[in-house]
Amino acid sequence: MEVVLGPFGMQSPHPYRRSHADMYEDLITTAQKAEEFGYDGIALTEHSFWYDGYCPSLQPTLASVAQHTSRIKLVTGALLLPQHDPLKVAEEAAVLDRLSHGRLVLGLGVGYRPEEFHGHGVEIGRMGARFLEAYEVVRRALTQETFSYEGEFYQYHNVSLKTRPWQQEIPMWVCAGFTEWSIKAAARRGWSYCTTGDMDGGGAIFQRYDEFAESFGHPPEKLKRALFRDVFVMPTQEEADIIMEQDYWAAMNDQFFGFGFLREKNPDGSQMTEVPPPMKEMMLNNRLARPRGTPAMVREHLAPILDWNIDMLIARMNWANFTLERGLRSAEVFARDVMPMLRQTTVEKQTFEGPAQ
Amino acid sequence: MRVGISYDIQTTADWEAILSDIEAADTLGYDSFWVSESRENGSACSVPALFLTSAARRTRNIQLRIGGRTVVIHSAIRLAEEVAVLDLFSRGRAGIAFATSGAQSTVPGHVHETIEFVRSAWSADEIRYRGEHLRFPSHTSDDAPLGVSFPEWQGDYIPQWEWGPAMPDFLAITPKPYATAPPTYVDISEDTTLEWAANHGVSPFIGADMTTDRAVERMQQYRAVADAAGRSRYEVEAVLERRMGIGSESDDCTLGGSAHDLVCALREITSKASIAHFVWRRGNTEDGDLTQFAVDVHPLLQA
Repeated sequence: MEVVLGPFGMQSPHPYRRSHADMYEDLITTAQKAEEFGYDGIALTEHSFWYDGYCPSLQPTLASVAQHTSRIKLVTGALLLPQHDPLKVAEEAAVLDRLSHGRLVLGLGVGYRPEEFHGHGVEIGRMGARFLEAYEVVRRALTQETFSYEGEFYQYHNVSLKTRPWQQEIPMWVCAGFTEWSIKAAARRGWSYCTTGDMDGGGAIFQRYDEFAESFGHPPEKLKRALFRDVFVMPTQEEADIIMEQDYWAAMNDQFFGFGFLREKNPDGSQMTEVPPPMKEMMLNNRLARPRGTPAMVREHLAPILDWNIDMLIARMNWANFTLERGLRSAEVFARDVMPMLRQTTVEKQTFEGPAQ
Repeated sequence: MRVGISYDIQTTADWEAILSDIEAADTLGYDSFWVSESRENGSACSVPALFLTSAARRTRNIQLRIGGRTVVIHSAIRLAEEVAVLDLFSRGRAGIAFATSGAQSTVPGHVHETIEFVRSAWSADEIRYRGEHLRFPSHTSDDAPLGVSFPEWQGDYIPQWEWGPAMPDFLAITPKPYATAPPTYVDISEDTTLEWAANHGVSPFIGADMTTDRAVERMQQYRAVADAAGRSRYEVEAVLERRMGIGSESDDCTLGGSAHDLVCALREITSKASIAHFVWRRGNTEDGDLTQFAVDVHPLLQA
């Protein structure tokens, strides 16, 4: 299993304002440390028009990371594809892949914030259908010397990307949550699937993915699976809990409302701005989906995923309110005390079952 | 006077050699490095912003300029975002020059609207834009004012994180660039764009393929229009790209001869056309000696 650190969004939220230039510099430091700690990749996340300066431009940002690292993979997790021109995404991917000597991994998501769709001039109502077409356009542009595509949203006739990527086939992932349509759509096409998991962490999602794939004639063992998992490691559980409550939650609470996840109103009709207690409890203390605490506790709660045949784990342990030092500390302890369990099992499985295909 | 370099990147397959040259140019005191958008062949770079962002943290001082940017293929909003990221990575060294409308089969108004939009998006907070070629956000109605407009005070302020699901009439491009607004240039080969740029304080750019005499004439026309419009010289930076070579032959588009000849030619053009920034157009990384030019020509331009 490959372990990727991230995703990073270079946010400067109101409880912890910082210089964006400093944050982009910190990203380079983090990427270099991730490489030193033994991670397989670093991931970035994007949004547009969010007040805290959330990074909107992943591939150019990764181009700078590429120049200051030599081994780790450069992962978009996720680039919100329907809000982009797919041909531009492919052009950028080819140039970035070439500049990084074949280290790009393209995680592509759908997006959900109405402001972003309106700002980028894309109809939000058909975003799923648009995503599927755009994904196929990117795939063809990067793998075929000349391609054509005739869809509802995109039409291309004998188009060639002059700059060719370094890799023969840049790894591409459908980055989605747990909706039935996205699992089914990816399985139908044999596309790799990356999920944020659900209340149980994601095992049921991969099971559905496999069932769908089988029904569409794709052998599940040939498909790739990736998982986003919120993790955070501190020497004591108490330390982890305090950081989550004070720093993680402040940023998450804003995004819950600002991103439009929660639509509840107060009795006077105004927008509710505090997450209901049960949901907060679930976000903070669902250990299965979000293991945060001592290394032993995180290992225990990550252990089940070893049976899910996951190819890539994106360990999400940096949040908008975290200092560079805090994020790196957790990343280092995770690499030292948790990653060996993930690695060791991979080796054991390879020994037992033969090399992974 | 500033001196930069640009590459005909499509003839140089080795991108790493170009990145090394940017570092060398930075060390030698060159002021700018320009990469043009091109899709001519496999060596060309279709996304110069990405290429330059990769160079941002390998250099300290050199300005990183996107050249020949088209507006028809890609979104103006994405353009504003990607230049902002380049500017942040380089701590204020990003800039962009737009191609003529003729080079991209559109009308001049399309280029002008894009420039107006990105400059507004970088320097202001929430904005709305209604043009013939661009609407931001996309649901902006026909009764919105033409061009850029700003929200009126509604008597209360609700921060974005308390909006909930919303479809606001005004949006902010974030993050903002490091500089208030990265320098913006436009190719003034076309009369309509020359007039528009001179009237709106957009810096003029002339590329290496126009003859030197014609380039001087165009820059003089630009200045005359700008003067008539009451625009000051300090508002803009006139950029002229030339092929140059110490010891090489001069022609209509190339400045050659000895280092002294080159300096005299550059000084003459400056006095005639108010050029503030020369860009040495290099065919490839072997085309002329960066160090020799920096040692023999730079000091005489600065003196």
